[in-house]
Amino acid sequence: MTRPGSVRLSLRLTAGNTGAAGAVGPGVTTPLTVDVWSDIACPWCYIGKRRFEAGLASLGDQAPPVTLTYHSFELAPDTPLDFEGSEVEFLAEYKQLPADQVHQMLDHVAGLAREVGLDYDFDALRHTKTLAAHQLLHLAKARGLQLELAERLFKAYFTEGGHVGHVEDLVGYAQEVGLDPDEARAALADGRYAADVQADLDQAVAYGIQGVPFYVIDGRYGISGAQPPETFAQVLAQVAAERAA
Amino acid sequence: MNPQVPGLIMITSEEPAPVCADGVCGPVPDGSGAADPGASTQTDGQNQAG
Repeated sequence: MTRPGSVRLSLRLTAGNTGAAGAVGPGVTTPLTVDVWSDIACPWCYIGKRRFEAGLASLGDQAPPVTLTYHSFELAPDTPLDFEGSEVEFLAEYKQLPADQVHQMLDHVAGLAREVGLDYDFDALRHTKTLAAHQLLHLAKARGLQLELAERLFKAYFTEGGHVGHVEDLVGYAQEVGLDPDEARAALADGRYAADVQADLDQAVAYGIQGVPFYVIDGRYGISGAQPPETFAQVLAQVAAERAA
Repeated sequence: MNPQVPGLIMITSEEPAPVCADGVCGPVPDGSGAADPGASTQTDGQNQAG
Protein backbone atom coordinates (compact mmCIF):
# COMPACT_ATOMS: atom_id res chain seq x y z
CA MET A 1 0.00 0.00 0.00
CA THR A 2 1.34 3.37 -0.98
CA ARG A 3 0.30 6.26 1.13
CA PRO A 4 -0.30 9.72 -0.30
CA GLY A 5 2.93 11.45 -1.25
CA SER A 6 4.92 8.33 -1.91
CA VAL A 7 6.37 7.50 -5.29
CA ARG A 8 6.88 4.18 -6.96
CA LEU A 9 10.22 4.10 -8.70
CA SER A 10 10.97 2.28 -11.90
CA LEU A 11 13.80 0.25 -10.40
CA ARG A 12 12.89 -3.39 -10.33
CA LEU A 13 14.72 -6.26 -8.74
CA THR A 14 14.63 -9.36 -10.85
CA ALA A 15 16.28 -12.71 -10.62
CA GLY A 16 18.56 -11.79 -13.49
CA ASN A 17 19.97 -8.70 -11.91
CA THR A 18 22.45 -10.51 -9.74
CA GLY A 19 24.12 -12.16 -12.64
CA ALA A 20 23.81 -9.11 -14.85
CA ALA A 21 25.65 -6.94 -12.37
CA GLY A 22 28.95 -8.34 -13.47
CA ALA A 23 30.93 -5.22 -12.73
CA VAL A 24 29.56 -4.78 -9.26
CA GLY A 25 32.62 -5.76 -7.28
CA PRO A 26 35.29 -4.03 -9.31
CA GLY A 27 33.13 -0.96 -9.83
CA VAL A 28 32.71 -0.12 -6.19
CA THR A 29 35.71 1.00 -4.22
CA THR A 30 34.04 2.65 -1.25
CA PRO A 31 32.19 0.04 0.80
CA LEU A 32 28.42 0.03 0.78
CA THR A 33 27.09 0.84 4.21
CA VAL A 34 24.62 -1.58 5.70
CA ASP A 35 23.06 -0.38 8.94
CA VAL A 36 21.02 -2.98 10.77
CA TRP A 37 18.56 -2.21 13.55
CA SER A 38 18.38 -5.33 15.63
CA ASP A 39 17.92 -6.75 19.10
CA ILE A 40 19.79 -9.66 20.61
CA ALA A 41 16.44 -11.00 21.83
CA CYS A 42 15.04 -11.06 18.29
CA PRO A 43 15.02 -14.55 16.73
CA TRP A 44 14.43 -13.19 13.25
CA CYS A 45 17.46 -10.92 13.63
CA TYR A 46 19.82 -13.87 14.07
CA ILE A 47 18.18 -15.70 11.19
CA GLY A 48 18.35 -12.48 9.17
CA LYS A 49 22.05 -12.21 9.98
CA ARG A 50 22.68 -15.66 8.50
CA ARG A 51 20.53 -14.92 5.48
CA PHE A 52 22.32 -11.63 4.84
CA GLU A 53 25.69 -13.35 5.13
CA ALA A 54 24.54 -16.04 2.72
CA GLY A 55 23.23 -13.46 0.28
CA LEU A 56 26.48 -11.52 0.30
CA ALA A 57 28.53 -14.70 -0.03
CA SER A 58 26.43 -15.82 -2.98
CA LEU A 59 27.76 -12.89 -4.98
CA GLY A 60 31.22 -14.43 -4.81
CA ASP A 61 33.92 -12.39 -6.44
CA GLN A 62 31.31 -9.88 -7.53
CA ALA A 63 30.30 -9.07 -3.96
CA PRO A 64 30.71 -5.38 -3.25
CA PRO A 65 32.69 -4.35 -0.20
CA VAL A 66 30.28 -3.81 2.67
CA THR A 67 30.57 -2.05 6.00
CA LEU A 68 28.04 -3.60 8.35
CA THR A 69 26.99 -1.79 11.53
CA TYR A 70 24.56 -2.98 14.16
CA HIS A 71 22.23 -0.47 15.78
CA SER A 72 20.25 -0.80 18.98
CA PHE A 73 16.58 -1.67 19.05
CA GLU A 74 14.84 -2.75 22.24
CA LEU A 75 12.17 -5.18 21.26
CA ALA A 76 10.60 -5.39 24.70
CA PRO A 77 11.78 -2.57 26.95
CA ASP A 78 9.48 -3.79 29.71
CA THR A 79 11.38 -7.05 30.06
CA PRO A 80 12.79 -7.51 33.57
CA LEU A 81 16.50 -8.27 33.98
CA ASP A 82 15.62 -11.64 35.49
CA PHE A 83 12.44 -13.12 34.16
CA GLU A 84 11.77 -16.35 35.99
CA GLY A 85 10.01 -18.42 33.43
CA SER A 86 10.11 -19.84 29.94
CA GLU A 87 9.81 -18.05 26.64
CA VAL A 88 6.28 -19.35 26.36
CA GLU A 89 5.41 -18.01 29.80
CA PHE A 90 6.98 -14.65 28.97
CA LEU A 91 4.95 -14.19 25.82
CA ALA A 92 1.81 -15.43 27.51
CA GLU A 93 2.28 -13.15 30.51
CA TYR A 94 3.60 -10.00 28.87
CA LYS A 95 1.93 -10.19 25.49
CA GLN A 96 -1.23 -12.05 26.48
CA LEU A 97 -0.73 -14.64 23.77
CA PRO A 98 -2.34 -18.08 24.10
CA ALA A 99 0.25 -20.70 25.05
CA ASP A 100 -0.71 -22.92 22.12
CA GLN A 101 -0.15 -20.07 19.71
CA VAL A 102 3.24 -19.31 21.25
CA HIS A 103 4.32 -22.96 20.99
CA GLN A 104 3.32 -23.01 17.35
CA MET A 105 5.10 -19.74 16.69
CA LEU A 106 8.34 -20.84 18.35
CA ASP A 107 8.31 -24.20 16.58
CA HIS A 108 7.97 -22.40 13.29
CA VAL A 109 10.83 -20.01 14.06
CA ALA A 110 13.06 -22.83 15.30
CA GLY A 111 12.41 -24.74 12.10
CA LEU A 112 13.46 -21.82 9.95
CA ALA A 113 16.51 -21.26 12.17
CA ARG A 114 17.58 -24.85 11.51
CA GLU A 115 17.44 -24.14 7.80
CA VAL A 116 20.25 -21.62 8.22
CA GLY A 117 22.24 -23.79 10.60
CA LEU A 118 21.05 -22.37 13.90
CA ASP A 119 19.89 -24.67 16.68
CA TYR A 120 17.52 -22.52 18.70
CA ASP A 121 16.78 -23.78 22.20
CA PHE A 122 13.72 -21.89 23.41
CA ASP A 123 13.41 -24.14 26.46
CA ALA A 124 16.81 -23.01 27.71
CA LEU A 125 16.40 -19.36 26.68
CA ARG A 126 16.73 -16.86 29.52
CA HIS A 127 14.64 -13.80 28.88
CA THR A 128 16.24 -10.56 29.98
CA LYS A 129 16.50 -6.86 29.28
CA THR A 130 19.01 -6.20 26.49
CA LEU A 131 19.89 -2.57 27.13
CA ALA A 132 23.29 -3.39 28.65
CA ALA A 133 24.05 -5.75 25.77
CA HIS A 134 23.41 -2.87 23.37
CA GLN A 135 25.82 -0.67 25.29
CA LEU A 136 28.43 -3.39 25.04
CA LEU A 137 27.85 -3.66 21.30
CA HIS A 138 28.70 0.03 21.02
CA LEU A 139 31.93 -0.50 22.92
CA ALA A 140 32.67 -3.40 20.58
CA LYS A 141 31.96 -1.16 17.61
CA ALA A 142 34.47 1.37 18.92
CA ARG A 143 37.05 -1.44 19.17
CA GLY A 144 36.28 -2.94 15.76
CA LEU A 145 34.73 -6.09 17.23
CA GLN A 146 31.02 -5.42 16.92
CA LEU A 147 30.17 -8.20 14.47
CA GLU A 148 32.06 -10.71 16.59
CA LEU A 149 30.23 -9.67 19.72
CA ALA A 150 26.83 -9.61 18.03
CA GLU A 151 27.39 -13.15 16.84
CA ARG A 152 28.55 -14.26 20.30
CA LEU A 153 25.55 -12.71 22.06
CA PHE A 154 23.04 -14.13 19.58
CA LYS A 155 24.59 -17.56 19.95
CA ALA A 156 24.57 -17.38 23.73
CA TYR A 157 20.98 -16.21 23.90
CA PHE A 158 19.34 -18.49 21.36
CA THR A 159 21.41 -21.65 21.40
CA GLU A 160 23.20 -21.87 24.76
CA GLY A 161 20.72 -20.62 27.30
CA GLY A 162 23.18 -17.87 28.14
CA HIS A 163 22.26 -14.73 30.04
CA VAL A 164 22.87 -11.53 28.09
CA GLY A 165 21.66 -9.13 30.76
CA HIS A 166 23.93 -9.72 33.73
CA VAL A 167 27.10 -7.64 33.74
CA GLU A 168 29.52 -10.47 34.49
CA ASP A 169 28.03 -12.71 31.82
CA LEU A 170 28.30 -9.89 29.30
CA VAL A 171 31.88 -9.20 30.33
CA GLY A 172 32.66 -12.86 29.77
CA TYR A 173 31.27 -12.77 26.24
CA ALA A 174 33.13 -9.53 25.58
CA GLN A 175 36.39 -11.10 26.69
CA GLU A 176 35.77 -14.13 24.47
CA VAL A 177 35.71 -11.95 21.37
CA GLY A 178 38.79 -10.01 22.35
CA LEU A 179 37.51 -7.02 24.29
CA ASP A 180 39.24 -5.90 27.46
CA PRO A 181 37.08 -7.25 30.29
CA ASP A 182 37.98 -4.38 32.59
CA GLU A 183 36.99 -1.83 29.99
CA ALA A 184 33.76 -3.71 29.29
CA ARG A 185 32.89 -3.84 32.97
CA ALA A 186 33.68 -0.15 33.43
CA ALA A 187 31.67 0.84 30.37
CA LEU A 188 28.62 -0.97 31.67
CA ALA A 189 29.10 0.51 35.13
CA ASP A 190 29.32 4.13 34.05
CA GLY A 191 27.00 3.89 31.06
CA ARG A 192 29.38 5.67 28.73
CA TYR A 193 27.59 4.23 25.70
CA ALA A 194 24.07 4.85 26.92
CA ALA A 195 23.78 7.97 24.77
CA ASP A 196 24.84 6.02 21.68
CA VAL A 197 22.19 3.42 22.36
CA GLN A 198 19.60 6.14 22.79
CA ALA A 199 20.72 7.77 19.55
CA ASP A 200 20.08 4.48 17.75
CA LEU A 201 16.66 4.17 19.35
CA ASP A 202 15.86 7.75 18.38
CA GLN A 203 16.98 7.14 14.80
CA ALA A 204 14.74 4.10 14.65
CA VAL A 205 11.82 6.27 15.69
CA ALA A 206 12.80 8.91 13.14
CA TYR A 207 12.88 6.27 10.42
CA GLY A 208 9.57 4.91 11.60
CA ILE A 209 10.99 1.46 12.27
CA GLN A 210 8.46 -0.66 14.11
CA GLY A 211 9.96 -4.10 13.71
CA VAL A 212 13.37 -5.71 13.39
CA PRO A 213 15.57 -6.70 11.74
CA PHE A 214 15.57 -3.59 9.62
CA TYR A 215 18.30 -2.86 7.09
CA VAL A 216 19.32 0.48 5.62
CA ILE A 217 21.56 0.12 2.58
CA ASP A 218 23.80 3.05 1.74
CA GLY A 219 21.62 5.32 3.83
CA ARG A 220 18.91 5.25 1.15
CA TYR A 221 17.23 1.89 0.81
CA GLY A 222 15.21 0.31 3.59
CA ILE A 223 14.60 -3.42 3.86
CA SER A 224 12.38 -4.81 6.57
CA GLY A 225 12.56 -8.33 7.90
CA ALA A 226 14.62 -11.48 7.64
CA GLN A 227 14.62 -11.58 3.87
CA PRO A 228 15.74 -14.57 1.83
CA PRO A 229 19.45 -14.54 0.91
CA GLU A 230 18.69 -13.95 -2.73
CA THR A 231 16.85 -10.76 -1.88
CA PHE A 232 19.81 -9.37 0.01
CA ALA A 233 22.07 -10.38 -2.86
CA GLN A 234 19.87 -8.67 -5.41
CA VAL A 235 19.61 -5.46 -3.45
CA LEU A 236 23.34 -5.29 -2.76
CA ALA A 237 24.12 -5.95 -6.39
CA GLN A 238 21.59 -3.37 -7.50
CA VAL A 239 22.87 -0.65 -5.20
CA ALA A 240 26.46 -1.42 -6.09
CA ALA A 241 25.61 -1.26 -9.79
CA GLU A 242 23.99 2.14 -9.27
CA ARG A 243 27.09 3.32 -7.51
CA ALA A 244 29.32 2.07 -10.27
CA ALA A 245 27.22 3.61 -13.02
CA MET B 1 0.82 -3.95 4.66
CA ASN B 2 4.35 -2.96 3.87
CA PRO B 3 6.02 -0.38 6.07
CA GLN B 4 6.38 3.24 5.09
CA VAL B 5 9.64 4.62 6.34
CA PRO B 6 10.21 8.35 5.99
CA GLY B 7 13.32 9.28 4.08
CA LEU B 8 14.07 5.79 2.81
CA ILE B 9 13.31 4.06 -0.45
CA MET B 10 11.67 0.89 0.75
CA ILE B 11 12.23 -2.43 -0.94
CA THR B 12 8.77 -3.90 -0.90
CA SER B 13 6.74 -6.72 -2.30
CA GLU B 14 3.47 -8.47 -1.79
CA GLU B 15 5.04 -11.11 0.46
CA PRO B 16 6.01 -9.74 3.88
CA ALA B 17 9.23 -10.91 5.51
CA PRO B 18 9.25 -11.92 9.17
CA VAL B 19 10.06 -9.33 11.80
CA CYS B 20 9.79 -9.00 15.54
CA ALA B 21 7.64 -6.13 16.68
CA ASP B 22 6.47 -5.12 20.11
CA GLY B 23 8.11 -8.15 21.64
CA VAL B 24 6.30 -10.62 19.43
CA CYS B 25 7.97 -12.56 16.64
CA GLY B 26 5.32 -14.22 14.59
CA PRO B 27 5.96 -16.16 11.43
CA VAL B 28 4.81 -13.35 9.19
CA PRO B 29 3.65 -10.46 11.36
CA ASP B 30 1.78 -7.55 9.91
CA GLY B 31 3.77 -4.44 9.19
CA SER B 32 6.81 -5.98 7.57
CA GLY B 33 8.08 -5.51 4.08
CA ALA B 34 9.81 -7.88 1.76
CA ALA B 35 11.41 -8.01 -1.59
CA ASP B 36 11.70 -10.98 -3.85
CA PRO B 37 12.32 -11.57 -7.49
CA GLY B 38 10.05 -9.17 -9.25
CA ALA B 39 9.69 -6.88 -6.30
CA SER B 40 9.88 -3.18 -6.80
CA THR B 41 11.18 -0.34 -4.76
CA GLN B 42 9.00 2.49 -3.75
CA THR B 43 9.72 5.59 -1.84
CA ASP B 44 7.96 7.46 0.81
CA GLY B 45 10.73 9.92 0.58
CA GLN B 46 10.51 13.32 2.04
CA ASN B 47 12.99 14.36 -0.60
CA GLN B 48 11.14 12.79 -3.47
CA ALA B 49 8.90 14.46 -5.92
CA GLY B 50 5.25 13.93 -5.13
